[in-house]
Amino acid sequence: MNVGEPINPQDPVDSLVRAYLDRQAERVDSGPVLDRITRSLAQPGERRPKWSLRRRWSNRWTLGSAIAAALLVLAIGLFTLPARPLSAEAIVREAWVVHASPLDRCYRVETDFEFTPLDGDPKTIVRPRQTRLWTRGDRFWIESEIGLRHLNWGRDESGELWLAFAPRRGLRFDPTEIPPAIALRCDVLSVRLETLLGQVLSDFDLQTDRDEANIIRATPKPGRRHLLREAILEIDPETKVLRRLELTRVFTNRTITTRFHLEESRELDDSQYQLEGHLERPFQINPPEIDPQRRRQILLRLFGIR
Amino acid sequence: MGDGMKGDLLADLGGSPDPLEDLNDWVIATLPRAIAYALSLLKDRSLADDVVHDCYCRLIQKANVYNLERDGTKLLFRSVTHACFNHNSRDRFALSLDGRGGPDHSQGFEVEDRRMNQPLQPILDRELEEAIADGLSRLPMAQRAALELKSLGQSQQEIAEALETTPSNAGVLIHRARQTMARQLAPYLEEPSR
Repeated sequence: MNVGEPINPQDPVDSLVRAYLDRQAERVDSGPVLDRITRSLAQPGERRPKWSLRRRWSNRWTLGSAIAAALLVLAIGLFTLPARPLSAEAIVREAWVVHASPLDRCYRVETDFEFTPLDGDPKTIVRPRQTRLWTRGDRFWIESEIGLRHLNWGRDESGELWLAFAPRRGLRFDPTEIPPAIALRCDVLSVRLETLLGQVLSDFDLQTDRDEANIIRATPKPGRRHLLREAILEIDPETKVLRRLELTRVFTNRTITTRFHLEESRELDDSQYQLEGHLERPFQINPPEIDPQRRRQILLRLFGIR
Repeated sequence: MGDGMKGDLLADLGGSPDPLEDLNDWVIATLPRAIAYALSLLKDRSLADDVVHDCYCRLIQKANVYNLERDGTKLLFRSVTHACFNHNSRDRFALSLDGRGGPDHSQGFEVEDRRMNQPLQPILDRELEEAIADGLSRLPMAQRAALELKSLGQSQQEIAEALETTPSNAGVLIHRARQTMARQLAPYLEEPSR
C-alpha cells in the first residue's frame, strides 16, 4: 500500500472517506510527533547525567551501613583461611557487603504465576511477564511491556507508587491507597538486596551447588516462617555481585517465582525514580477525570489482579 | 513541517547515509495520515499521537528485520490498528484511563479556504465533512477501521491481517460499513457534482 495510491473509483463511499482522511491528514500538525519519534530513537545513544559521587555518599546512613558491612567482612576475613574454598555463608556475606553500596542496578525480571488449586487439581496457569527493573534501596522503577504498550512505573523515595501511562500523563498513588498485597509485591520488586541477603544469612540454610560453587540455594531453617519458600542466588566470583536471583514465594494459594537477571550497574539520575522523570512537558498528573474507583482498578490491573 | 526537519530526523537517527535515509522520507510522508487514521479510531488526539509515536518507534527499531521501504506503510497501519483496538478493548487502561468518548473537535472542522472565489464551497465541504465524520463515528470500530484501510488502498488480505480476521470477514466488514455510510451520505452521493 502506498500513500497517495488511487482507490477504486467505482466506490463513491471509499472516495469520500479517502478524501475525508486526506483532509484530516493535511490538517494534522505532525511536527510534535515527529520530534518525539526522533527523540525516542535517539535515546539509547544519549548519555544520562552522571550522579556525583559526593551526592551519593551524602546519605550518612548508607555510608555508615557500608562501613559497618566492610568492617564485618574484614572481621570475617580474619577468621577465614584464604586457601580454603569459601562457604556458602561467606559468599553470601561478601555479596551482602557489595550490595550495601548505593549503586543503581538493572535487572531483567521474569515472573511466573503458577496457580495451584486447593483441591489438588494438577491444572496450572503460568503467565510469564518480562520487565526491566532499576533499583536503588527501596526505590525502583520498571520498564514494562503490556500488550503493545510500553509502560514505566515505580516507587519513589517517599513510598508513593507512580505510573506513567502516556508520555504526558501519569498517576501517583499515596502509600495509604496501596492494598497490602500490592505493597508486598512492591517490596519484592524493590529488591532491597542488602536486607534480603541479611535475612538469607540469618533465617535460611545455605547450600552451594555441587558443580558451581557460586550458585547457592537457600531454604528457610526448620521452624522459621518466611514468605520465601526458596531463593537461588548466583554470585559473580570476581565482583561478588548478585548476578541472578530466583525467589519462590507462596501467596494465598499461588506459587510465584520471580527471577532477577543482572543486566547492568551504573549511576542513574534521581529523577529516573520519580514520575516526573518519565513524562514529557507539559504533563498532567492525576487527571481529575480518573475517579478513585478507576484509580484502584488501574492499580489492581497493573499488578495483574482482576 | 519544513524541509529542515528531514535532515534533523536523519541526523538524530544516526546521521549516516544508510537505509534510514529512506525511512526518514517515509516517516515524513506517512506520519500525517497515520495520525489522522489513529485519530479517527480513537477520537482523542493525545492518544492518537501516543499510539502513532509508539508504532513508528517499534517499526524503525526493527528496520533491520522488516523491509520497511517495501512493507513499511502496510506494517505501520497494521500496527496502528492493533494498538487502537488494544486500547479500546484489551488494554484500555494502558492507553487511556479517562474513557473519553465522542468525536474530537479539538482539530475543528475548518476547511482550508482554497476556493475563496466560490463562497458556498467551503460551507458545503464542511457540511459533507461533518456528515462523513458523523457517519464514521457511528460505525463499530472494526467496520470503521476496515473501511478506512480500504479507502487508503489496502487489500482485503492486508485488512484481514490488520484486524486479525479472515479475508472474507474483512470483506463483510467493508461491505457493511459501506452500506451504513451510503445511507448516511445518501444526499451527497446522489449529487455527483459534489
